[in-house]
Amino acid sequence: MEVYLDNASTTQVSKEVFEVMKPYLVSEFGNPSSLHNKGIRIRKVINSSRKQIAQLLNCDCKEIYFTSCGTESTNWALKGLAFANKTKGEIITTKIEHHATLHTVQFLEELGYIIHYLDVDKEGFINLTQLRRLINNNTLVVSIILANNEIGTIQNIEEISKICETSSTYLHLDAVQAISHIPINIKELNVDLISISGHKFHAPKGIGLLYIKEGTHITNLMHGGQQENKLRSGTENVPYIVGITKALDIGINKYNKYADRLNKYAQYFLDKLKENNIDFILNGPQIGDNRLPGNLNISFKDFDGSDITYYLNKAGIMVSTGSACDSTSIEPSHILKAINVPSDYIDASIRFSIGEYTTFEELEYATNTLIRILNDLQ
Amino acid sequence: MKQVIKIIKNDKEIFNGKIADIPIKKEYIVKKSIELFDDDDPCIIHQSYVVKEFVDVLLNIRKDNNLDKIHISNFLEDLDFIDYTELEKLIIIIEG
Repeated sequence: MEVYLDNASTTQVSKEVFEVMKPYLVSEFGNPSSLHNKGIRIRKVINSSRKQIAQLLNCDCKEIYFTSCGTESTNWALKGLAFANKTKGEIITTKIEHHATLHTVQFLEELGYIIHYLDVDKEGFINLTQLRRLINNNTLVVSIILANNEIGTIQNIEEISKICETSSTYLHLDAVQAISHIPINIKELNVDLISISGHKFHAPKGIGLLYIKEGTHITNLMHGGQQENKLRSGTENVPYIVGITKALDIGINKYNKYADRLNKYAQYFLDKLKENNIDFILNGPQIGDNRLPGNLNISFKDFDGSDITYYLNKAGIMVSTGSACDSTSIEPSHILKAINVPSDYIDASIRFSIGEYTTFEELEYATNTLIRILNDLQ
Repeated sequence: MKQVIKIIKNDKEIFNGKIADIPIKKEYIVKKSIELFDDDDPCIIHQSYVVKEFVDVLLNIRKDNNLDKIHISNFLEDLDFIDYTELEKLIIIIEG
């Protein structure tokens, strides 16, 4: 049996998404900037897609920009603000951001920006007192990962947004892992920029979105043609725009049932480990409203995570470890270090990410196999 | 992979350590990395994965033949990745 439990890394393109994309890869290939029938039809498709996305996320269609991925969106959000607003010199982010954010702010630090990294507690929630203390009128932007890609922590954006308002600071959310997995209503969130990536919710790799609130002072990073309201040049990736729109439509409309099922599956997984006396820690918050549905980041005591994933893979079960490599060593991720996973657990931290297409039978096979592997490796 | 191995040559212990640290010929690591990843300069995570593939071969020989003491001369073709000369003279003892 093959069991894919790495949906937080990427998801398969759904059949519905693939079907709606097909004509735009073959017959409907016109350039939307062309003023002939093929071009005009495609322009209409792009405009309709943008409107549909805006409706699904509750914002204005002029605030939605198509990009190539979540990383581009985050780069654009942070660099675009930095290059357009040179009167403010500080940025606040957290210690548990994706590298798309961390490496971008490191780049901006080299240009002279002062970067502050908020601490998080053992469940990955940011320290709001520290944010209140650090934020000031020189703070350009606060950039926060809405739902953490490794440990699934969902931050209290309402409170963070209120704090940002006090200093007229932009708020950027990395919502790459969150969109379609938790309810998102942009108007209610009251944020300025949101990065989104299609392949996390069954659209293809190579398409993303950046929400930019109207009135945000931002510059473009891609110069050229007049696409995307002159802010992101380059001929539009029409099939993928159609794909991400369909994926978002399906994702948002299925949310409630999906979240319940995934939370039940995740709880079953943990219960099986407990029943079998496996010594483990669930990293991040308890299963529920503050944790991404289907995300289980688990550390096992006195094991090597790469051994576990190796044998899981041999058994057809695909997961991720919480490790990163430099040139000479394999290190636990910065996120696991930030939440202080105990040293005798941290080296065997594995992310099981249950997804839309995971069946109960697959999960049962995965838990039984995991328990057997842990016993064999003991 | 918590097993410890000893490599014996002419009644003398020449290696004693974790099974994952078994000496593997560099060219075999590169060859396997190309086979798996098409990467002739693997990062440490890919190297570690490749090493597990070789260790798995050794563990399977032990399991399939119900052996704790493996005379390499009997499995020369499978174990030629081990980075020692005169492999046919080596005995591997796996503990754990």
